Amino acid sequence: MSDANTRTPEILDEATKVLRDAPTPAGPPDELVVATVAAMKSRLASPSPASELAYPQRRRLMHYLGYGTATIFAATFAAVGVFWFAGPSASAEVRKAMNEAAKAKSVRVVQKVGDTVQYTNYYQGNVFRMEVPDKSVEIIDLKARKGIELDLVAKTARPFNLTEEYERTAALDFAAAKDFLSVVRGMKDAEIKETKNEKVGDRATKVYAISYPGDGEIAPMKATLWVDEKTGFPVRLQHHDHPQGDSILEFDSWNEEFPAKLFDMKVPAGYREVKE
Amino acid sequence: MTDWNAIVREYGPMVWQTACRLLTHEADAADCFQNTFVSAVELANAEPIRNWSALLKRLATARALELLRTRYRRAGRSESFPDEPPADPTVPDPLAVACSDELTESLRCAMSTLDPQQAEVFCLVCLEGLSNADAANLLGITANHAGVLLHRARVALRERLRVFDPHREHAPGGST
Repeated sequence: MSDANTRTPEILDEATKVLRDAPTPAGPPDELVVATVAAMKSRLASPSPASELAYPQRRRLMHYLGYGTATIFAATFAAVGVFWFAGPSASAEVRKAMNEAAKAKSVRVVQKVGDTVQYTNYYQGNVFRMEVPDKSVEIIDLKARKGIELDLVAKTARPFNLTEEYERTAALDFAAAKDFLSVVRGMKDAEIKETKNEKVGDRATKVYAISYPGDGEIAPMKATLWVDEKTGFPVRLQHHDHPQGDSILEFDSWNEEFPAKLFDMKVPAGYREVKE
Repeated sequence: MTDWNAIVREYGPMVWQTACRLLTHEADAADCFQNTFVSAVELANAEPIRNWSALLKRLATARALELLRTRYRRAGRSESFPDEPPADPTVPDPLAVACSDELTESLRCAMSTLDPQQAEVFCLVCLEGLSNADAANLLGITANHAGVLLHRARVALRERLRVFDPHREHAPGGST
């Protein structure tokens, strides 16, 4: 056996060992777990071949809408929904805020982990825009059944049509995002405390500390919710205990009409169109 | 009726660790995580699942490898993986290289170029710690067949990782 044959296997073994022993997170983010269970239940409701998952745009949508936003909405507001069950003191005002949020026609949501903006999402009726800073923009129109993805680095634009499966998934996610209270059924035993009022920007807010022990549907969580005193809409929600720092959702522009250009699906100047 | 919440809670960490180990990128790992459990739903619809841990380990590995192949295919790295060692004589110590992210990333890239079944056996046995027999059972093949696939995978990976052996150029018959 040559020297080469005796030495190169060591490299493979060493690489394998390094990869095998590389530190990995203890578990998935709670939002991902919730989104995954929702995706499984969705698949149970309408079984279809696993190969459909190979569509990259569907995976992205599932990730962005299912994991990145809608499910955070759902999980978050599920926890907020526990005001319904937690006691009468803070519940009326928050219940009103949740009802208003559920009925809202539009909202901008900025999701951060620590100080880093992860996504900025715009919901308006049937259209959705998601911005990943310095990386991508995705615009989806559920009614027109089409979308476009812009790669801000490669300067490419990829228009696409929504398949039925894609549309159905998106519709479910949109519904979850819009109907924050749909997932609160069965929640109980949350601890909610109203703390001292604060200003967020120029908005006076009431602040609530939420502690939920978890159940079969929603993971244990601690969060803080800021509600606009004037409008009653949620302003900010901070999930504590996120492994990479607190996860923060900031809400604004409730029921405001966004500029049409945010949802324009034309290939922008300077971008090269790529096909599916 | 299957308690999907309980299954995701119980086996989610294992699936997540497999996905993160192979994929590194959180977004890809999240895709792999979801795809794994959705695939499990489809399989459970078709037949009762006797061993969730083993099934999910296999599915997570398979889904992660699919994403790896897609990633490297898109990046074009599979085509340009170097055949020859770098000419630079200041190649670092092999153990230092082995500890580097570059080496593990190269192993991931190399795995993405393997025959899918070979790659799956390699991951299950060498990364997930299964025996040949257990991996064979999961894949529905004989233990001997698994052994052959593993051997072929290791030979192919060694070949692709030759670039990291600084002694190769001095070896008899090796290129100089």
